Amino acid sequence: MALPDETRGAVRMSAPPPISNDGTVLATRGLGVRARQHAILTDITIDFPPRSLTAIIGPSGCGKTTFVRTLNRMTETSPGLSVSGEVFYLGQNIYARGINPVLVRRRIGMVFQRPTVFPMSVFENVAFGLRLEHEPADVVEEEVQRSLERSGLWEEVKNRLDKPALSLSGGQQQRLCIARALAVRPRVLLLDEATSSLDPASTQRVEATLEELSHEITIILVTHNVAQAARASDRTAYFYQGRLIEVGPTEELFERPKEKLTEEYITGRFG
Amino acid sequence: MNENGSRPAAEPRGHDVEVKQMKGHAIEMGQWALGMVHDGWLAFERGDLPLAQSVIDRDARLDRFDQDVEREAVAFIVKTQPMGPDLREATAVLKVITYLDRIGRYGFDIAWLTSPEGAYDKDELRELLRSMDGLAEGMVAKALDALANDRGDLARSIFDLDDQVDEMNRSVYRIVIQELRTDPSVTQRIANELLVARHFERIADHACKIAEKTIYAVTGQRRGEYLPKRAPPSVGSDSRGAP
Repeated sequence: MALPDETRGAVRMSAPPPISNDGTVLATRGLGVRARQHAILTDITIDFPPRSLTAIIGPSGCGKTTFVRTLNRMTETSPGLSVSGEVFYLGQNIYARGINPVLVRRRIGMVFQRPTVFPMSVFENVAFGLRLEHEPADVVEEEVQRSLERSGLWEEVKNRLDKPALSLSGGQQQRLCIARALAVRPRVLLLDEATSSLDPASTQRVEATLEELSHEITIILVTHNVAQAARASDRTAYFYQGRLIEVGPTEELFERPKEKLTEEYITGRFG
Repeated sequence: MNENGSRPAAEPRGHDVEVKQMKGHAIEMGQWALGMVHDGWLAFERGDLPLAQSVIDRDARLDRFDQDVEREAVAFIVKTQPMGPDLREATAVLKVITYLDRIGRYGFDIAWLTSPEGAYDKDELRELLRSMDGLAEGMVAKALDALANDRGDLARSIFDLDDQVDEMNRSVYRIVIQELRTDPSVTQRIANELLVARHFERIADHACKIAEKTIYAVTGQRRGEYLPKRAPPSVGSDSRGAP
């Protein structure tokens, strides 16, 4: 079964994908994750609108990482986890029988806490997904440049595209990972603590990149850094003990949270 | 939040100690400003020039309070990046000290009008000004109490008092006009009564602004969310000259 915006063959030939009828790109309904008898996530229902940057915050162990990994079926790579409920991408349940998880992950990309660059050149790192798609050389070249520009890295690496990616700084490597994810034109980008290992200047550059990208795609950013959620996102969701406690516009949530649990967390009572 | 709009007592939050300390300094500044108003009026009423001078001299300390509490609030924001109620408290304190500075300055201005003859000798006018002083000072004291104790309900009770002060201000205006018609030679002295009434009216307004900021700090609600909107007074109405 194909995803709603999936086309065969060349990634670049994909027409701008349609949005589901209610304008939501990604949504969960009653989503739960269990590890044997232990509930990691319980009954999560949330919508992610197009062109938005949603921060997921909460204390350690609240399930925020598990939650984003469930959004592109990455949880399937962790044995012993069972998923219940539904995750809709453009109205299609990605856990429905016949949906190919590889196609899901192409549309819903992910960037991890530590930069995961491959031991190859800057250019080949970004071209990696395109090569798997057997894109012609001119298309690959075009997409690599476009992705590096979108990730805010192009000006810094354009004269050393053939240099090893591992020679880049930590911040540059993380933006390279973002460029690699963007190269296959995802509609949604998930970031799991993607700046927690970076210095403040690199973090600022990555956040600026995400802000730019959020005008085009849907971004979901997991962060333990409440200040980062406040400055970088336009919506924030607070998780606690595997449940979604509150979600709303970032300024609203940080200025006057509706739930006592949220207030206690953002004012540093715990977490 | 409990039903009377105040925050229930809880164990200290992450920044409870710093917030309490910052608010404590703002309250201290408020008491200083209130003292300037109180003594400014006494000096004006009695014609007590040394007391008036002491009020004038207190202005420098008021300025220092303003700067110190502002610095403290800014440092708190920079160091803790407060959220939720802590953020609201810090921004409220920054606004409140501006209102308190203005209140203290009105005390200064009243003291500045003191003449050896004291207040204008007309019982009705003097009683009105005494009442305005009592009400305005009471409103500021209540606003400070509400701020210190996170009492949104107490803060809300201040708004009705403002209407009384406004009405008294209009009464002073009418009496002054009547006096001027009767005896134009008193213009200089009676003009000061009008200014003092105006200063009390402004002090009461600032007390309301402090109450608004207290409600915001405690509940997150802004004025438009709990007070009915009023149409602005029309130019040419009865209130002209003393809005």
